[in-house]
Amino acid sequence: MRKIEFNIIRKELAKIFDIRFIILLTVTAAVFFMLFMKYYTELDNAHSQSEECQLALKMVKAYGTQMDRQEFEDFKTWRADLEAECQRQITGNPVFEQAGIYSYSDYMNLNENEYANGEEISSAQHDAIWALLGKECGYAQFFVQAYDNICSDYEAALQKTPGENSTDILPYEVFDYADSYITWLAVLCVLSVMFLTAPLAVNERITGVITLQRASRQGRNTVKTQIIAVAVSALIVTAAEAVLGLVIFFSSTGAAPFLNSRLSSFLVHSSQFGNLTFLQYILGSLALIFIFSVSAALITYVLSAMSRNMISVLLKTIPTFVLLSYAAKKPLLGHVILAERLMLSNQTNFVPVICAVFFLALAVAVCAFSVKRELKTEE
Amino acid sequence: MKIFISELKKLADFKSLWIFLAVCFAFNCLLIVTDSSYYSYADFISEFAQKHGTVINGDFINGLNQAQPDEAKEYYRTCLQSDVSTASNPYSSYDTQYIAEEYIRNYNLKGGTANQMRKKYGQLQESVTALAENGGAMTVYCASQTSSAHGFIFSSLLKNLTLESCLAAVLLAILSVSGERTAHTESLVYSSKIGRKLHIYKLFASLSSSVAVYALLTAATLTVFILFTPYPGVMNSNVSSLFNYINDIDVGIRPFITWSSMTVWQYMLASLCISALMTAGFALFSFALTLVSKSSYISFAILILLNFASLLLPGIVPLGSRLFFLTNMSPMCLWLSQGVWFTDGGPMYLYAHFETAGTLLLLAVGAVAVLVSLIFAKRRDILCER
Repeated sequence: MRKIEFNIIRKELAKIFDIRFIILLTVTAAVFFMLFMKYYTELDNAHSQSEECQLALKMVKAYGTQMDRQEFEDFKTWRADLEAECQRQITGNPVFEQAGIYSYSDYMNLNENEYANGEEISSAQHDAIWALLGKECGYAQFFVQAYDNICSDYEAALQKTPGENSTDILPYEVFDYADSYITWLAVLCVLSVMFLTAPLAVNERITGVITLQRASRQGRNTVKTQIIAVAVSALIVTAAEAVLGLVIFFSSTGAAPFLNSRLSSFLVHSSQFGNLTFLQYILGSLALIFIFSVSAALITYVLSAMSRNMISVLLKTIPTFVLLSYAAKKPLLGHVILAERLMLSNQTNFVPVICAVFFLALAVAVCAFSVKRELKTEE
Repeated sequence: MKIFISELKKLADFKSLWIFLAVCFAFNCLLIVTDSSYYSYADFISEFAQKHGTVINGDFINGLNQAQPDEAKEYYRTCLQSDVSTASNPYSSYDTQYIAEEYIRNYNLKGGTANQMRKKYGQLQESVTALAENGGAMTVYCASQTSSAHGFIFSSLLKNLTLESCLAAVLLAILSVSGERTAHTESLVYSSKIGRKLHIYKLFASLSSSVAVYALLTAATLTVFILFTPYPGVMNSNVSSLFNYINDIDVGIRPFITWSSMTVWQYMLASLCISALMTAGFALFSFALTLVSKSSYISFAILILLNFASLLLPGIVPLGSRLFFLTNMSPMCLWLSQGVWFTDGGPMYLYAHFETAGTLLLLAVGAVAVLVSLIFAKRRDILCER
């Protein structure tokens, strides 16, 4: 009996993974990635945050995921190297010579004393100030700014009570981009499983296969097998997209060295995450994505089973997709607005978990209803 | 006519469509309710405007100074006093050519495209001159909260309405075309006297039902909008009020200038007309695609995919090229810029009245697609397909 069921599941999976749908889904996923996710795989979208990430990477390589006071003293010596790089860019560069800048201290005098105070400066001086912040000079001055930001953040973290902000190294941009990326990954997974599941039950009704199935040895219990196949397909699609998505993210951003850093890093400026590491946060988010995906697939299957034609399925699944993707958009950290309106905002960290469990419970309930309906329906 | 009516009836009998429309309507109501944080000030302005009009003149300012609202509204009276005290016509000395020059510099426009950009802003200067003369700018709209209010009405509520209607239109067209196939009556119908001419009736049925659905959803949403928001009281203001502005990434904050002077009501009506045409355009495309495709699900997926993929095009083609401006005329780009319809449209559009031209282009291409698909459907060998 088990073997037969397994065979049926395999055949149901083959129906779900129709080659036409897979091709369409691949193109859809590529377009979705380009439109909503690609931006978050590039950490060089803003200065001096991108320089902060590059420095943080060097810090992790030099000190590990945490930087203690002694290591911070060593870190202080890095400024000299950054200033030397600025000096190297200034020396012999006509842009700076025309502005009367021959050393980095000249540059800083102009930048801090005159430019920052809003005093009138010549266009040559203006060009020189921006030149050291530009691509031609390797964003040398932005590195100094990023370095100063890191130092001031670290010193501020030391002033706070222990446990409020840790000495872990994790740039805010890496965390923020990963959060947004995973958010969209969740939406993509929900979209994909709904797209593949939607035609399953309704196609069998349209083609008349459903009556044959009911007359077969397995009878109306086929619906149970189909539900298992739908859940399995959702797990497969989500796993494939999540793995591929995360490989793209980490290979593009190079953020893998931060995986063991805690989210309460002194660079993230938030202490609401406790001892949760970046890796644990990603794994937790993935677990929630799986729950949302399976829930979405099961709900879509039931909607499909309750529909008489394809348009009916689409009219039901489009609002469901909007609702589910809205709930899945902030898998672990975000603020689900609906829940906030229900005065749950002080439990922000748990709201997405509550949402995920709610949707899973809802999916299981509607599946149970669907099975019961199938076993009792007289057509 | 009888066939046309029965096709319409088939579509109207579709329960899921009504559920979908109800969900869309509920979503629009939710949008209106969640925007309520801006209503208090607008409420005061609306109430005041009903007595003193929307034009900021001596009477308006005197009325405001003499008004004795209750304690709760005194704060808003002070705010409005502060907003109108420094009000002056921004168009009397406004020159639009700097906008063109900034775009030309930022987007590296050359030759014909640069000249066309200058020409567009030369045309806009005429609108500015007209606005300076007719004093349209000296209307209150929502005073300092105009940008938020205008953004909510046109970039949020009406934009959602357009999207929902286009989706409904696409699904209605698919439903209409694939109805016979789903009911297994295709061969029967094709062998009848009417034969494949039925597609024509289906086309008109899906077009008229799409527009009807749009009208219904709009009427329901606007009823809630009129009853539950304070904005209708100030919508006799000119849409180019001195308080209305566009936050432009290239030139900073600049006035909201339409090609012809119009009140907010007129602007809304014009926007609704373009949305209705856009809905019809989507219905045409959906009809054509479903007619040539064997699967209604795949045709829906392809249509949605093509529309989203069109958003990638402006990023692929060279920035500032003619192709760049052409790709910005895709239906999705037009829909995204709904908040700036009937204005110059910023650096993404090279010609005046881009929304009208874009929508007419959509309808023309849609009509050609329908013609081609009808010819295809007429010559299709159904027996061989089986």
